[in-house]
Amino acid sequence: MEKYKVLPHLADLKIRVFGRDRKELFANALLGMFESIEPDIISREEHPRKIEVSSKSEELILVDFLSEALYQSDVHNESYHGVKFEIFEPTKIIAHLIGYPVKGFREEIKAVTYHDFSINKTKDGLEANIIFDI
Amino acid sequence: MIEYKDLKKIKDYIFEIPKSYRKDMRVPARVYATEQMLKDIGGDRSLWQLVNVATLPGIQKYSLAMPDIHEGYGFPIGGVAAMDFNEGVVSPGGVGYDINCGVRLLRSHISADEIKDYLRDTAHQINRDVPSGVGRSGELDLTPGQIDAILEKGVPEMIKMGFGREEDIEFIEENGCLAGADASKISDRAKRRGHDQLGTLGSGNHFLEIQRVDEIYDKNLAEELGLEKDRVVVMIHTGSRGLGHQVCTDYVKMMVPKIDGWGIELADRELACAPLKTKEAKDYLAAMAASANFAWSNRQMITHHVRGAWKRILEPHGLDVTLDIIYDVAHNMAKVEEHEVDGEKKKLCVHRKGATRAFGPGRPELNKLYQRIGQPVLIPGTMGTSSYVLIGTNEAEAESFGTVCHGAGRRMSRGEAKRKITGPEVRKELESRGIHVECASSRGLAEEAPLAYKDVDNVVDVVEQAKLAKRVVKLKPMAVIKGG
Repeated sequence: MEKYKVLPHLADLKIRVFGRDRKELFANALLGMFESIEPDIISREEHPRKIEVSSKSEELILVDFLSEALYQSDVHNESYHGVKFEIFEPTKIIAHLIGYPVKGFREEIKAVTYHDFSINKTKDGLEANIIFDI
Repeated sequence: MIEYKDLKKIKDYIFEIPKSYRKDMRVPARVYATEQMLKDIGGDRSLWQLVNVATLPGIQKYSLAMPDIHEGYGFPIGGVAAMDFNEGVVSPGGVGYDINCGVRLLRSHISADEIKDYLRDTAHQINRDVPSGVGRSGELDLTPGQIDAILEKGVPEMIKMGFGREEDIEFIEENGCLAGADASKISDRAKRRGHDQLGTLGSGNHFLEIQRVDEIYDKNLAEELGLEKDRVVVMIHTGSRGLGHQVCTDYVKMMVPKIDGWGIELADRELACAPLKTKEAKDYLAAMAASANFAWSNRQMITHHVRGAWKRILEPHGLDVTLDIIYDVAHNMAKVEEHEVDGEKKKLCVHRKGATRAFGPGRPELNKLYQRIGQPVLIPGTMGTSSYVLIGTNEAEAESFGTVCHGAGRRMSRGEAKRKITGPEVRKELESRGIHVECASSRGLAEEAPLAYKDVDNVVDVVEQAKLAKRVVKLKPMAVIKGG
C-alpha cells in the first residue's frame, strides 16, 4: 500500500496520506512530512523522543500530532521516520517518535495547517489531505 | 471555482465579487488587478479564499486582494481584512505563521562602481556571518530573561545590547516595538524555538540582496530617501522564525474548538478567529505583538552582521562603510489602526497577510520625515529581477486601509519550477548578468527562480495606476544571498 504522495500546490506543500487504520495513517503522515522536506541526516543512531498530544477533536488530533513532531524536530534538530504508540485514544496520544539527528532540512515547514484538512474512509482504509505552510 | 464573469469592474484596476455571490458574505470582495492578471489568478483558489474572508464577523467595506494575490491557506496571500474593533474578530491565520515577515532596506554610502571589485568578498562574508537555511542557529543564545525583554521591548532592547545605533529606531515601523507585547502570552515552546534564532535568515523565499539603484522615478522623493542612481543598498527579507510559527500554531489550536461557542461559522477552519473583545483575542494580540518585536529584532541582528561584514571587507579599501536604515516594514500582521469608514473615523483591526502597510503623509504613526513625504514601501522582486521602493499615499488610506502589495507573488509551484529550470541554470543565468549568487542549494535556487513568480513590474504598475503608492526607485540585484 502506498504510504503517501505529494500533490501539486502553488505555494505550499500538500500531501495525501494513506493507512489501513488510524495508527498507520498517523505513522505515514509523520513519514511523509519529514521525507518531503529531505533531512540532512548526521548519523543513523536512533533517538526516541517521547511526546504527549491531546486534542479536542478526533479528526484534528492528526494535525496536532504532526505539529508536536515539528516542534520536537525544531528544538532537537531531529527528523522522525517512525513512531511507537504507547497510548492511542481518539483525542489523546502518548508515543515515542523515532528519528535521527540532522544538520537541517532542505525545506522548512513553518506549520501544519487545518486548511482543507480531512480524514476520509476509502475502500482500503483511510486517507488524509494535509497542507503544510512552507 | 470563481470565474472571470463573476467579477464586476468597479474602475480601472479594481474588480469586485459582489456580496450577492454567496449568501454568507458580509461584504463584497475586491481585487486590484488587470484583466490578464485576473485570468491568471482564476487558475488557483485565491479568489475563493478571498470570498471566505468576506464572511468573517465585523469585516468592514470589503475583503481586499492586492495584485500579487495567490493561493494560501485560510486567507489568500496578498489579502487584507479590516475588522471593527468592537464587533469584529482577529484571526491568527489572517496574519500567518511567519508573524511580521517583512523587509528592511539599508542605504550604503558607496556606489555600484566602488563596490564592484569587492562584491563577491562582501557577499561571501555576509553569507558566512548571517546563518541561513533550515535549522541553522545564530550566534546569540538568549537567556529566558533576555528573550522576554526582546519580546516586550523589541529593537530598542537590541540596541541596548549593542546591536545597532540609536538612530535606527525611528526608521522601523512602530519604532521596532509594537505596543501591547506581553512575553507571558507566548508559550515556553515558542521561546525554546526562538532562543537561538535571532540573526538568522531561514529558508524558502527569504533572502538578503546587495542591490543598486537602477532607475529613479521621482527625483525629489529619491533625494529625501538619500537614493541616487547606482547607490548601493542592502535588502533583508525574513521574519520571526520558529518562534512566530509556534505562536500562530498555539493560538490557532486554542481557537479552533471555541469557534462554535462564539457562534461563528467558518468557511475554512484555518480562518479560526476570536471576537476582539474576548480574552483569547487580547492574548493573541499581545503574543503577536511580542512575535513582531522578535522579527524586527531578527532583522536588527542581521543588520548588525551586515554592518560587520561591510566594515571588514570594505573599510580596508578606504570606503565609507556606513549603512543607514531607510525603512523596515512588515507584511504579515494584524494592527489596530484608525481608518475612515462611511465618513467616520473608526478603530479597526487591519489584517495584512502578504500585504504591506503604505501610509501616506500625515499619519502620526510615522517619523517626522515620513509624516512629511509618506511612508516608504519596500517591494522585493524575485532573484534577478527588480525590487522597488514606493511611497504610500493618502488615496491608499481611503481605498485599501493604507495597504499595497508585498512582492511579485508566486505563479508556479516549486515542483513545476524545478521541472522547467535547474538550479545550475538559474545560477548561470544570474551570473551571466553580473549577479553574484551565494546559495548552497541548487534546488532552492530553481524553486525560487524568477519564472516561478509574476512579473513584479506589472504588480507595481497596478499599485501605482490605482494610486495606492508612488514609485520612487527601481533596484537591481548585484548579489543574492539565500538559504535553500
